[in-house]
Amino acid sequence: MTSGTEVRAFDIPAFKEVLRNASSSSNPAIESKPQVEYLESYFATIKPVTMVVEQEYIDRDFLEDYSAYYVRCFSPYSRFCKRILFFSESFTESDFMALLKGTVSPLTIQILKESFLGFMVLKPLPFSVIGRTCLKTFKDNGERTYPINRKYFAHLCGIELVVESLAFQEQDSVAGACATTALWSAFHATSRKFQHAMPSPFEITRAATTTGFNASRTFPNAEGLSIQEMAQAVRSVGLEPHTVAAGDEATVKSAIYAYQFAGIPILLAVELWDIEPAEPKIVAGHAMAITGFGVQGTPAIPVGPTKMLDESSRINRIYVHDDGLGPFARMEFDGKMVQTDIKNGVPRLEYSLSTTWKNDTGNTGSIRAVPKFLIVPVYHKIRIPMRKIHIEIAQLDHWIENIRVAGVLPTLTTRLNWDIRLVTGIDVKESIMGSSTIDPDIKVKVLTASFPRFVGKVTAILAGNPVAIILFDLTGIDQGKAFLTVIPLDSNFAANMKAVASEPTLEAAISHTPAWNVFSWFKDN
Amino acid sequence: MASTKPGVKSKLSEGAALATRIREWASSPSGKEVLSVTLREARDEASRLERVQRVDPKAMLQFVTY
Repeated sequence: MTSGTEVRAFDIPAFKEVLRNASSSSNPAIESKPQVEYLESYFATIKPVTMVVEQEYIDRDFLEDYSAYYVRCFSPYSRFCKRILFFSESFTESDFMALLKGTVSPLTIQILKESFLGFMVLKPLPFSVIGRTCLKTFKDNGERTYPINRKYFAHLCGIELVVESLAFQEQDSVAGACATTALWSAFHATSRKFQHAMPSPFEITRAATTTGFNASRTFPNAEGLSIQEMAQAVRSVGLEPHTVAAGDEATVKSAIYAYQFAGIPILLAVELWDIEPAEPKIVAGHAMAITGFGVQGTPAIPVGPTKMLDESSRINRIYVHDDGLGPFARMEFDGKMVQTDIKNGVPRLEYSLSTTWKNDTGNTGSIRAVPKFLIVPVYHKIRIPMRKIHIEIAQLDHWIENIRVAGVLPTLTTRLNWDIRLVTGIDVKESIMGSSTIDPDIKVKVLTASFPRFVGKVTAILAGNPVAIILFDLTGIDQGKAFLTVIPLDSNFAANMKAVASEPTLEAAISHTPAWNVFSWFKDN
Repeated sequence: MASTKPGVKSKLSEGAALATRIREWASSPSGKEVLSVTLREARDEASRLERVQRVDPKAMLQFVTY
């Protein structure tokens, strides 16, 4: 009996050789694909030393696509994939075999588990070989966060290995293009979070195109999906799509901040523009899944005409699963504008993010992503979009700030910062339970109260210290009052708010606005 | 007659002073002006935020990703 696993020292040429041999064409062009180039730089950071190649691996996602499409091709395609498992420790095939036999070996199960960096399934296709790939992320250092990651288990010869990641794969242009692949990655997170079945790429594309809006054929799916079809794919797994126009940078950042901390991925649809030519040209519409973000250490940046200080403005980069590049690809909000149109001599400038795509001439840095839409796949009970909460807080902030600037609120020595995010009722209670600074009576009141399952949590921060938490019910109806309650964290701040709300002239001015919900709470409590 | 504790008394007088300060400002011409401007600007900001995030259904159909 021949061994189904091969242990090899990891280096880039060896990795490329495994990739090439896994394809049904052994096409050497596979080695210079953008995804492979991207993975080279990724591996330079996570530093694998050894790889174990499983020669016959049955991958559920590929099997679905295989049975739906590839099995009916005249040319034969194998239904077996290969799988590479990456490790940061050095060991040989004889060390590994000795471990399996139970004889003396420098390699232990503990070493295997601790040095596991993730895995990559290789599909037996002519060119699109990179299947389900779960690789360890770069260190989450506070400035960089991957809240969507989940645990993946890989069983190697009876040894359970675990990696925290989010699955990535490249498009095969048959079962799906970039939109399908982005949805597939997003569903890997939501299927665990909201307990829905995990569809294969083929199933996603088929569900998305049931609307019949696409004039072209569904399979092979080289034509991609429209935003409408992507939204339909979200509905097909029992979730609801919150679709938002990515009209400005602040909108994108606030949505990322609000939903990603709750572990909810976001689908980002962009236009890719090449700015190298004298007149920028559009390359394509493209979709990706936002899987993490980074924040700068500096304070919040004033946003919009009212100059609200929103913590989400500190986001300066996002990480995306981009099927044209790889997992956790970095894109930066670097302030560069792209001229996307010109009318009557007036250029239309749109904000953009950096990418690591190469243009036609092979240069990196000139392909810019201009965001167009965000689709947030949410559980059906999350009915009130976080943007509604954001709009209410923007108004509240403007009232508080203008009264503060008049110099009548002694506690508010500086402008408030706002941290707006989606949480669960359980999250709220757990954070209150673990707090030693909240007034004991308020603590009991909150812990014994009844909360909805999904809550918009807004923390008002004064000079770095949280002074109040404002909660909104996200399970209500759009026309209703989403405001739920306030958890005061600072008695002086509460006294200032109460004094404002108790003044009849101010009540008369504010009471017909959404901001009054919060003021009136302070008045009555 | 029960006496009020000094700390509580000081808090009460602080509260009364704050209320007076706010009342005087709110009824002053400058205060009234701030309230009227804030009301208008807060509504404008809400409309602006609604506008930048509003999805055009036609664009959703036309925007195709590859």
